[in-house]
Amino acid sequence: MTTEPVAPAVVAAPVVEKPRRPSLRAGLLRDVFRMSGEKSGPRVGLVILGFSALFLAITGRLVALAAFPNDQVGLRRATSNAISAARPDIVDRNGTVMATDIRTVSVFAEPRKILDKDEATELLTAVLPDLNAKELRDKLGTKKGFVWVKREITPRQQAEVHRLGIPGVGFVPENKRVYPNGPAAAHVLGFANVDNVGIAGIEKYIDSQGLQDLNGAGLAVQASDLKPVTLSVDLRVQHLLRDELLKGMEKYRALAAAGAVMDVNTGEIIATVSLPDFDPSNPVDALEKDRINRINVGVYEMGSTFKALTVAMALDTGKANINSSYSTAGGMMRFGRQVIREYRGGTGRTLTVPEVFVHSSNMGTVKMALSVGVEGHKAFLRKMVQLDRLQTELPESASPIVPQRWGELNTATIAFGHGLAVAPIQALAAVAALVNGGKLMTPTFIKRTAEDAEAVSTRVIKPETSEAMRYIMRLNGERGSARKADVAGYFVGGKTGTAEKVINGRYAKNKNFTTFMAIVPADKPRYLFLSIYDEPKGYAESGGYSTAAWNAGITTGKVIERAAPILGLPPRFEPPVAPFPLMAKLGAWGTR
Amino acid sequence: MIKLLHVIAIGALVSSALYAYSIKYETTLEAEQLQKLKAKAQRERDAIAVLKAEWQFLNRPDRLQALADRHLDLQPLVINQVVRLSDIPNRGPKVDSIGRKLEDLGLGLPTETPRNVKSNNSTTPGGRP
Repeated sequence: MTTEPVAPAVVAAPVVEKPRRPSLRAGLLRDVFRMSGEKSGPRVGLVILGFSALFLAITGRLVALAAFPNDQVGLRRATSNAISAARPDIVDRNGTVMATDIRTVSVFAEPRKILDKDEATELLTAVLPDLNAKELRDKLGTKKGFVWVKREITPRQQAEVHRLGIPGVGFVPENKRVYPNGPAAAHVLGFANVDNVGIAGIEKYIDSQGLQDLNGAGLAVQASDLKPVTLSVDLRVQHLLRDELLKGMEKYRALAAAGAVMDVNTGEIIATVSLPDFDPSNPVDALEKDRINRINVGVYEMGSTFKALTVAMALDTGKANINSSYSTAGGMMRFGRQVIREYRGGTGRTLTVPEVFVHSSNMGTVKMALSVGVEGHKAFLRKMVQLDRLQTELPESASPIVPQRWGELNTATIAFGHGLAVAPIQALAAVAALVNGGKLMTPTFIKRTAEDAEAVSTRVIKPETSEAMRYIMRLNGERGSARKADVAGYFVGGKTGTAEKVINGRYAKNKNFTTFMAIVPADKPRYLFLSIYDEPKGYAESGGYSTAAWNAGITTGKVIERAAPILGLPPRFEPPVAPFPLMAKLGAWGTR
Repeated sequence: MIKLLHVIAIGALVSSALYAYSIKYETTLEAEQLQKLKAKAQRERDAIAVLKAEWQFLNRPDRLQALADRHLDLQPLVINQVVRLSDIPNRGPKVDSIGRKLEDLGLGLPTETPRNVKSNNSTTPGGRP
């Protein structure tokens, strides 16, 4: 009996041997489950493999936990692209806060975790009454992991929402941008939206400097880690400029006004105002058409202030010297069908260069420009950045309107500031270069030193020409059209400019665009003041005149009077001794 | 001998375990404390930021000017109010004009003060009817 079952096995053995070789896997499996000790190698191997995998998984998890130690990983990921990032403070040149972040709290919900959505909606709208119930219910009905309920709530509201105790509703601290100074320097600052992303002005410039990339990488979430941005603006001067322009706008019934103060040696803009303006904390009307930054974005025909450029060009190219003279006989010049007239008939005399400037003679400046020629005129204006877009830190800028075909007539009209529309900041940069010794530098809204400015400046005119420009501007401030701004003790020099506005392609006789530029002090200029009025009207004391001297000139005088002590300019009791030595040596008109 | 070694080893083991436990406990405590202080510092920083913003908000030039116009009768500085030190005239001889006026009115006598009043019931200095 016992031998019988053995026999088939012995017989079967050679038969089984055949399929065994091809199926190696089956053999291995069989070895794993074999109970005998000498063939347990594969089984031990399997166990080693299993445990190794287990330990690897544990190690991996430990490393992951150590590297990202936050237990709120899911929530953080959900909020990281929604939460408002920290922004650096913006301070003025004296360290006064212009824009800062404060911490507020926003309510969010995780719809997946809310059990009774209708109840949650009801409770939340009871505490936050300005929420739209239907919208909120729709938001909570979604399958999203994260939705905002309300941004930037008050601490009291936070306490009330907290007391509701709805599961799945929580708070996230957020940064809110505040502009404590109201509309002061609104156009420079620009503003940031609810996610603290810069939309305009310096705020946008900060973002373009790599702040948003930092936030995207999850860095720099604290405002204290970020260095404050120091503007070139002086808040006190900014305020008084705005104040004087507001008063002026009311008095002269102008449509708009603008002004700027610039440090001519560093190219820093100390103040810039464009009215009407807006409050960056509540920028609902910032994008309206009349709220543009007229200094940077508006382009205007600058009128007679442009004559300074023409005179400088003639002097610098050597086509004229300070004693050259120009005939204004007849009071008019013909260019084909076009006629260029002197203002109110002119003097009819032969005028020297300083006289041309002081009497604001159109004919004199036209003759100077023509002596240089069309190409020379173009080249000079290009060198003075009047023909190309001037780019500062502010993202807002405008291209000047340059005539398509530039002939002799264009050169003639541009010589006295008509036919070429530039942004006032371009004119500021050019005039600053004319009076600071001939160094052109791009205006900046960020504080910088004179040495840094020197490094980025280019020489455009000779120092001698610059002295001549200072001299004729002072002469104009003393006895010309800029007398209204001649604040005693500050040795002011200046130039008025009245351009007729173009309405429907024609110059309107009674609608003026008035500008005034002043340098203080004229013998060694430190600051350049600019005031602009759009369509000022005449008033009783002006005898109905609405030319620049009667509005922009008076405002500039008041601004100088208020700003000079703040800017650290001491008044002088005697006129400076030999302020223009070269002019005196050449015996220019007015020195004797 | 070996038994003693065992006892020492076990003792060392137990004490080191106790020590490790207490260290761990303390560390947790300190970590909690640190977290609390960090949160507190953050709250303070936030409060400082709010106060700074508020300070500037209250000190904004528009508001200061409006308040000054309403409550002060100061006038803006005019250039010709600034003078040099050498232009200031020398001070005249010192005259006690109030004293002279009192003298003229016959009120120049010394007033009765508590020091030379004998009674204690009055503490108010000054003349008496």
